[in-house]
Amino acid sequence: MNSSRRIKLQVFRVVVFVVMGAFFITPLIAMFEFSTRGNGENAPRTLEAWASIFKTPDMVDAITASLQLAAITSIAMLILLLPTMVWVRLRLPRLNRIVEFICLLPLTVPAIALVVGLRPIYVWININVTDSILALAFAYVVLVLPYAYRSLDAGLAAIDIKTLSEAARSLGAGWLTVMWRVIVPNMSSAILNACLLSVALVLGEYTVANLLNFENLQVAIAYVGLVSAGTSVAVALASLVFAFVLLMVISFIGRRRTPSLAAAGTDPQYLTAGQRT
Amino acid sequence: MSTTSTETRARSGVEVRLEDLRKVYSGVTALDGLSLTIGQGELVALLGPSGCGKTTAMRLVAGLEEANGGRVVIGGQDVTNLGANKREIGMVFQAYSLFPHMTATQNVEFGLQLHKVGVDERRKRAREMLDLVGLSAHSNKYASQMSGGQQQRVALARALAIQPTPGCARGFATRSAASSSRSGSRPFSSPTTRKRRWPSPIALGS
Repeated sequence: MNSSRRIKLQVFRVVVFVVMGAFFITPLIAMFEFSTRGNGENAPRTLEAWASIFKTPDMVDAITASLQLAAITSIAMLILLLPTMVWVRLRLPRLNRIVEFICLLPLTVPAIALVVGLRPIYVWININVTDSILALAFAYVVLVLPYAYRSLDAGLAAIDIKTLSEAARSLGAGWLTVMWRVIVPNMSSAILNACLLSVALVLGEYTVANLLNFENLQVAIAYVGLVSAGTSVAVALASLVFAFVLLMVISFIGRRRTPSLAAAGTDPQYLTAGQRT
Repeated sequence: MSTTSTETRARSGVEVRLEDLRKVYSGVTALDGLSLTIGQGELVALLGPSGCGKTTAMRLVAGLEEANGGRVVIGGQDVTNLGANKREIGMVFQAYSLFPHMTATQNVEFGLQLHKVGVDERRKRAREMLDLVGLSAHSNKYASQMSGGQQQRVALARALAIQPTPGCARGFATRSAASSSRSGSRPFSSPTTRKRRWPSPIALGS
């Protein structure tokens, strides 16, 4: 590659970076600008809207509920989906298509239609089991299936799961050990990605919660927006930044755990100890 | 089970007997009544054209496939319906099978850990086994940092490690493992070591 071409490529990269960066960051800056506006014509900048997040009691409850829902949904999704997918791949490959179809189905059903179906079930759950907002996790596990499936599917495709599990089995490992000590560590980044997508989806979910009369984060933001636009924008921005920070942390953890990047000279005793925990 | 396996493992070499083994893969008969007795300490090579059932036979012995008929008897014990994790069969696979998230040492130690071998003993044994296959210098490397042949030798060390006493192990190696061991510059520390340590019986196939 000659130097003028390299410079052109470099310029192109910078231009793409700047344009995309501006595209993503402009709304965020606008949100921040709006949420710090004072009342009146020439009022000074104020963080009142941000402070009032914590003064709105419903808001704090909604944030807690949404975070709990995100955690429960991610864990339930993993417990449900990962062993199923591994089992189907190893033992029932003919069912692969069917499982994929079922998992991708929620993507094609509009949330409104889904709620119509979920409504009677939730009426029953509310009366007979619990009226806690955490019951929404049932619906959310279904909603995140397509995204989690795609992510886990890519992770499973990247490792020779059949040979690895057979090797572990012949070394004396039961299925739980195979799962926990061989398969999960080798697709940790895919699992983290699936969790991240689930968290992002749950934190941003509005339709189902609203139509089932639960107050999660987005519903609360919408309500607050009716009274104080500044506060609702502040909460929305905070949840976006939170998701962004989470993404950074997760991708950092995922990269750190890739064996090829781990130092070859590291004392194996430390590595063994780390893996056992 | 633990009592039985300890007893079996304590013997110096065991007999492997296949009785009228049958295996059918969706219409294709891979094995049609294979009977074979491998005596204690016997070295047996399964030879034949591609697709004649060599791998199938070994997978049936290791418990990775279920037979459609016949019996597998190891050391006098009928293991036909026993899971792969309870059979104590060391297996070296044709495809590279090292756990990518573990170093060579950790790979060798994995099976020992599952057999509840203590830390010190585990370390010692892993070192011995890697030494046996001539890879002590690579003990902290991950699979991605080793060549194909080196990976297969670690897999061999891993399969040998789960046998408590040298010389009483039941090892199974595929042909690719054997050839990659041969192609290595210094596959084993010395021929005498090989004679003393190599488990019996060993089946070589592909």
